[in-house]
Amino acid sequence: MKIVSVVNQKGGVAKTTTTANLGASLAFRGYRTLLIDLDPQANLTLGLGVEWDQLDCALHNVLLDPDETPLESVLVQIHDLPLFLAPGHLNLADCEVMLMPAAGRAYRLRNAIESLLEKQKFDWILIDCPPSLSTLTQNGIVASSHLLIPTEPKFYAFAGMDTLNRMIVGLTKDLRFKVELLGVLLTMVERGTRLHQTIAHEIRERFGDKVFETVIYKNVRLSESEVEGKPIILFDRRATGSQNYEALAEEVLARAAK
Amino acid sequence: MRQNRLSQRLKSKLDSFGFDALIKGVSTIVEETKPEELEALAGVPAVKEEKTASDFELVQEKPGPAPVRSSSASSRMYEAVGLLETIEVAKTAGRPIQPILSDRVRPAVAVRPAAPSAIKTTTFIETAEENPSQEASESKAAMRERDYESQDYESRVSAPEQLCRALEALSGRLTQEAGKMAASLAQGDVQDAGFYLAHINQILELLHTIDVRGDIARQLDVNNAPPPGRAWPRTAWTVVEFAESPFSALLPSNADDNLVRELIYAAWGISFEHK
Repeated sequence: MKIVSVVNQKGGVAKTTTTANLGASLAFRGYRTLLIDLDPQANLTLGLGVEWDQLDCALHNVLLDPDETPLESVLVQIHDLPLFLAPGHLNLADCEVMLMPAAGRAYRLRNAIESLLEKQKFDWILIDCPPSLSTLTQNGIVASSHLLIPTEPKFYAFAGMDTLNRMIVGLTKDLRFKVELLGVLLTMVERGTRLHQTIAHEIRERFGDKVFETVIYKNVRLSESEVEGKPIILFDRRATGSQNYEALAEEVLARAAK
Repeated sequence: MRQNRLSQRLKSKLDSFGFDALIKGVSTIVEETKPEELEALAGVPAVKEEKTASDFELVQEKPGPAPVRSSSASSRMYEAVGLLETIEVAKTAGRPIQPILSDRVRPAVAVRPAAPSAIKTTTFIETAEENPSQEASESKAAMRERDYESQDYESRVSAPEQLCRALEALSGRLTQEAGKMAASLAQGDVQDAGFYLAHINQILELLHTIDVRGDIARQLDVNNAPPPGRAWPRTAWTVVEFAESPFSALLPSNADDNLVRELIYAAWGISFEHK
């Protein structure tokens, strides 16, 4: 069982899209997969067709009072796949503030996941982290065994990863956790763009085999699938986006097996 | 040609970035990584510092994470003095109180070296963060808070024994530090007095974190609780704040502006030269 935080301090790099579609591709292959929407924007939740404002309770309840609202009590199954979602909610933003004075606040999610795993089995848990270096992101990282960093081949991507690097080093000073890089994923790549090629090359040079072979190309069908509230694999399996994420799932499984 | 230029520029800019912790992975579960190694991993050169709070004998701790607090004067003093973790509340109270700011940063401002009476105690961070599951259950009451006002108070009062011990310890320490500051001022040692003023401010900030209006302390009948209708004194990080603070009553009768300024500067860890 692997717990993977999909994380990048920079926004708009396809963290949510990657979490949803990688999770769906893994579930499609029979792996029981849990997606956790840690982002107060709750885009993962919306993108999978769950209306967060209609929910009685969501992830913020779990983080604030896990005894009253255990993680399993908020799970929603997605489209009859072995795919489950711990939905996010706008109130996660408040949760961030409320957790500030709490001791052990960075371990909330980890404790909730541990309790869940005592009762239910999952093969993969993917956590969609917010694009910030917040307590919520800390919760995601501390709960994870691996990090997956989606990044657009742009210069700012390096700055984002440098910041993430510093954040992780900072966390090691106070928190007990162990995490390794599952891989860096190049997303929103445009074919034939010289800048993208140059930066992608540089990323591969810096991160070596930590960069996934699979690349996620820009594909409008991915955005359309979000509107439909479905992962791309259920929306249009022949689309480039779907094929990219299926290839990524295979690569992730291969890396996990090593 | 253009691509080569682009690539070269990119490479030169990227040299200032670090990704080692990401690439190699990190673990603090099996063994602690040394701060110097962490700095190297972060790609941040170790900064040669003057004597800082970490040089205090009484501060037995690791350097903290990246700053989260605001850059206000008082928060910078949090960073500088590092008293948060040195107060004996953890030991006295038996277990750590919940609403403690546990974000620590490396001292940013140079401060005076060790106080004579070194206090070695378990830090809040160590106690709180190293026993997360225990803390998670213990802090349940605090987690029910929906804001920092009314409900916040209710939930905190729901653990009266723990709070009472914490408040007793803090207010006791406040009195001690005030006494030491008064003694130093009486002896004309403004540097020492500034050192104790920094402690006083730190304690007050802690008290404000737990019980800003003093209601809980009064309710729990804590020794030295503020009288009815009064809150804990405000911190005094500036000359004006100090002048308004009840601690200004501890100044000697011949105190002038320069002395107060020197006192405040000393609390900041900055030496003050008369012109």
